[in-house]
Amino acid sequence: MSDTAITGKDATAATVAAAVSGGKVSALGVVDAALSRISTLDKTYNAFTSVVADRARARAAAVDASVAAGKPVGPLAGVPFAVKNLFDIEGLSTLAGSRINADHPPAVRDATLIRRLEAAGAILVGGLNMGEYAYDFTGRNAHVGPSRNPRDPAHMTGGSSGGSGGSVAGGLVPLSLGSDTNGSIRVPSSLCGIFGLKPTYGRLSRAGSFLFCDSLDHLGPLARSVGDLATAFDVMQGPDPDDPVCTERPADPTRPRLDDGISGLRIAIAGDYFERQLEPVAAEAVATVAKALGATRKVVLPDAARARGCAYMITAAEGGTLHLPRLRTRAADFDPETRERFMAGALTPAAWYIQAQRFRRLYRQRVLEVLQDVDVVIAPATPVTAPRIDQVMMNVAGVEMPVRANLGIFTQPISFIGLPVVAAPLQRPGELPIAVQLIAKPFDEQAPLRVAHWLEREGICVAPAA
Amino acid sequence: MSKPDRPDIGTFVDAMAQVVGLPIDPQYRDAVIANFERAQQIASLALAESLPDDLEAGPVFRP
Repeated sequence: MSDTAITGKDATAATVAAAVSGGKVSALGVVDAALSRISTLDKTYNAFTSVVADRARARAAAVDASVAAGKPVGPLAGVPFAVKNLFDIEGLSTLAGSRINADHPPAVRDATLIRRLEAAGAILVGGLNMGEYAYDFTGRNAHVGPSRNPRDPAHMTGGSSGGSGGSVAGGLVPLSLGSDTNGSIRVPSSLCGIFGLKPTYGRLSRAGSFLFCDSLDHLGPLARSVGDLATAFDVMQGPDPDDPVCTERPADPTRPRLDDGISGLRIAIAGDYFERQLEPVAAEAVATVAKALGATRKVVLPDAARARGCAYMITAAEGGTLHLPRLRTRAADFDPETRERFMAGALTPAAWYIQAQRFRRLYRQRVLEVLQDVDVVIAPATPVTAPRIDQVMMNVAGVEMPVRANLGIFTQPISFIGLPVVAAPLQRPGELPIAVQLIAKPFDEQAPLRVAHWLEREGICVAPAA
Repeated sequence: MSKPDRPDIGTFVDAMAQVVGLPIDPQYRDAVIANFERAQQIASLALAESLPDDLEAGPVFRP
């Protein structure tokens, strides 16, 4: 493979790491190439809100020095990555997509997941655009402009991890981190046509991130290859006393068994709720993946519509309460697309919130019963491909509905109970991509990653750079 | 005048905002009310099922 291919926009993290650790290319060369792409392509994509070039070059030089000295450099040696700007980056204010947080003091240290990726040799190159305070499915942002979809910049990336989707789909970096409360990793993965992993709730530490809705917040990686997702996920696992929700389970590496294929995995299709309110393109994606996997059995996740409603209420109440002090004093500085939703959420009756939390436990029990003899469930990730960037309404199965509220219709009932999900994209030549969700039981990220990897090897789900 | 089964959300929003100390500028009020009405519709559907008394929410949710 040529040096250009290793440092180019199509290179995966695995390709970069192998070349850097083998001394074939320098980490500095890889980082400089990524910074060069950002300086040109991001004028269109608007994925980055900050670039930490000096820091990245210094760390790249350190990686190169370790390689030269024969020291171990980690499985992500020299891999450039970027993070949604709700992750703390030492020396920068953590914006979380807002104007208000620009007044916050700079973070004194990196978020846990950044530190863990860099301990594995990866190199942070910047912070990424996002919907304000993560209350978003579109990738729009009134303060810095919208993230633009590299598959077609006239269309939205999806959100709220819009820059996380755009930066990877556009080949600016091979790996990014996002957050997912109701679908904010899986929606951009679908609309941008890349792989995304929303791990089990509590699996990855959220310490050092600006949370939105503590009960439902997850962090996770986005990438153009399943192997990269698995490697990044593996090095980020592990307990963290700085996040009270983070599991105390030991790390459970997924990479060693990624090539095991789908033999022995019981795969089903989500029926009922997940077959309604979607465009034919989304149904066809599920059918294509199911056919390739030989999956014919349908299962019903009971009460999914109610679960979505309860996720909505918990999000509104926790988000509104979190931001109440800012809503009191700086309402005019909020993004107009979030302000009144946060205000309404701050007024949520306790009875609604508590009932929704109690229902969450019941729904968990009911879904886990269904999953007793199923390892992976296939479901649509979004009901449509990427809407136009300023689109407010969309027609789904003959019904006009708001874009913002409904892009997450299929993701919300899953994150509500913290199940692990891989979003796996189908490319459609000449048309916009769309993904399916591969859903598994709690703490079994291995199963959907194996299925996604098999689909990738078969050429069903792939994610080339735009 | 509001019917008993159609609560006056505007009045609720004004009163509750005062209770929690959230000043709502008149230019935002209609949108706040619209958002709360949507939440109320969702709540009425999502919370229609009565739950057993011994069903507790998880203080730290472990899936």
